[in-house]
Amino acid sequence: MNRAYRAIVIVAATAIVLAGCDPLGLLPLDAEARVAAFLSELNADDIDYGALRDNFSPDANDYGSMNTAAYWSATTVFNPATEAPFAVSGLTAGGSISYGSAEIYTGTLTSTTYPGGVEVQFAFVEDDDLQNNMLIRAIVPDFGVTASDPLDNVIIR
Amino acid sequence: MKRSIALVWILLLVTAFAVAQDATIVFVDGFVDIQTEAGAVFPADFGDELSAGDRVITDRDGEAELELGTGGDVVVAPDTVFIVGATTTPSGQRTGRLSAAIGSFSFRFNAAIGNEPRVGSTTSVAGVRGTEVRVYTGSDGTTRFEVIEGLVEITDGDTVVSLAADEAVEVAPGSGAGNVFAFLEQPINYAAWNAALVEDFLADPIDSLDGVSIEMAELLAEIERRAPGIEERLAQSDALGEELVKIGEENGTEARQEFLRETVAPFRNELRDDFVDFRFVVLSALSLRQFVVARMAGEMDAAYFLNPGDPVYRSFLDDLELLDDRFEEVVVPWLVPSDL
Repeated sequence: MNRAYRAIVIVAATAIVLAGCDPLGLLPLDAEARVAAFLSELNADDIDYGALRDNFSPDANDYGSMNTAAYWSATTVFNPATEAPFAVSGLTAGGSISYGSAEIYTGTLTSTTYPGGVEVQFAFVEDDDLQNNMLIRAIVPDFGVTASDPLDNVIIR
Repeated sequence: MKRSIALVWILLLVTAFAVAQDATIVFVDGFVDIQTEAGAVFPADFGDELSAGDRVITDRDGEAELELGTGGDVVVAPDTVFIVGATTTPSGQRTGRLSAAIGSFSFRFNAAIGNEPRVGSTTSVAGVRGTEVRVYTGSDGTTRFEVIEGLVEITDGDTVVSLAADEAVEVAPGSGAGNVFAFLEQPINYAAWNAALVEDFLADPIDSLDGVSIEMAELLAEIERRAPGIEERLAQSDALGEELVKIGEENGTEARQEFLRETVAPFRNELRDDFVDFRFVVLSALSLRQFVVARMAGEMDAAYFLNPGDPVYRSFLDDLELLDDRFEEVVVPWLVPSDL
């Protein structure tokens, strides 16, 4: 590799890191960055549902449908048509649910129905293909539904 | 009876996307790629983890060995597209599903009996018991099961075809399982077997395409049967969303939360589950078109390259056009670009 070409690559890589943009999805995202990427797409005026699904683990139960608008319009708390804009604050490791070997993070979700916030737990698994790249396996908001099986409350899985 | 194979495997596999089935690559020889369900392709290596929907693709000299998380070993032969999947049986039990879109693999179950995966192809699937079995999938979608040890059961409509050790059967799309026969324990020459299938197919391509068309017709009928209900409930879901907004504007946040919790959530949770099952049928039809029909068309294009006006070829193209018209009418509206 000649010197000029190497310099261009280093500058481009540095710029991508500094700008926090990774259009090709080549850089690993931690849990917080993954949630931000998910919400950014979900809050977009023109949602790219394929890109929205890319925030989830292919192990997710509903993965085959998450790239469709219909799937998201059939969800409750994360329905973009009625609930956007979404924000999650105070995301910290740990939670009250267990979901296989997934790492659990808890935060506060605010949306149109929940302007005051509601607790939400995310289950993350590491991407098989990219070390330290966390993907969402399930989302469990606590919006007050009492279920005999706690997993009935899993909204996105 | 034979026409209902597709429906059987839909029922068995209707929640195939619902459960992850992990496997690990423990041996690689030659060129072997992994294609994830999301579409990423990379060279396979020792220790690579596979999830439901992932594919192992071997070239003409490639071979791979996989260890299943639930117990069992799979050897993927050269020139094969092997798919790792999973299913939930009607009784709710989680099992794996191992299939070859084309090519062959052998499977040996070495854990406690009771959680063996289902094995087969994109057009036929079998339950196994304490089994060592080889599966071959030909270019025309024909699936050959060879049992080395244990028992294999292939559900074909209301009939169950049982195979004991040293027995084999071939299942052709649309015409169902043939006679059970004894086989030599040595693996067959896949290339020769597939070449014979292709020869048979080229001898009567219209009949072969008709067989696949029957499979496709059953999938399309399932989609057409369920689509209006899904569409209606999606519209109801949107109407509930509008009502939710209205209640919020008129009665405040607490009333909005209560309506979402008590009315919207139960409705949408059930709809979401049904929609996911429905999508599986849609994606099954896509797989049949991509894996079986496309290969048939490819064989015909190659065979008639120098004689495109041949009446057999023209007739095949006419039938293919009919199949594609129905596919576009029924399936395509439910596909999105990232499915392809």
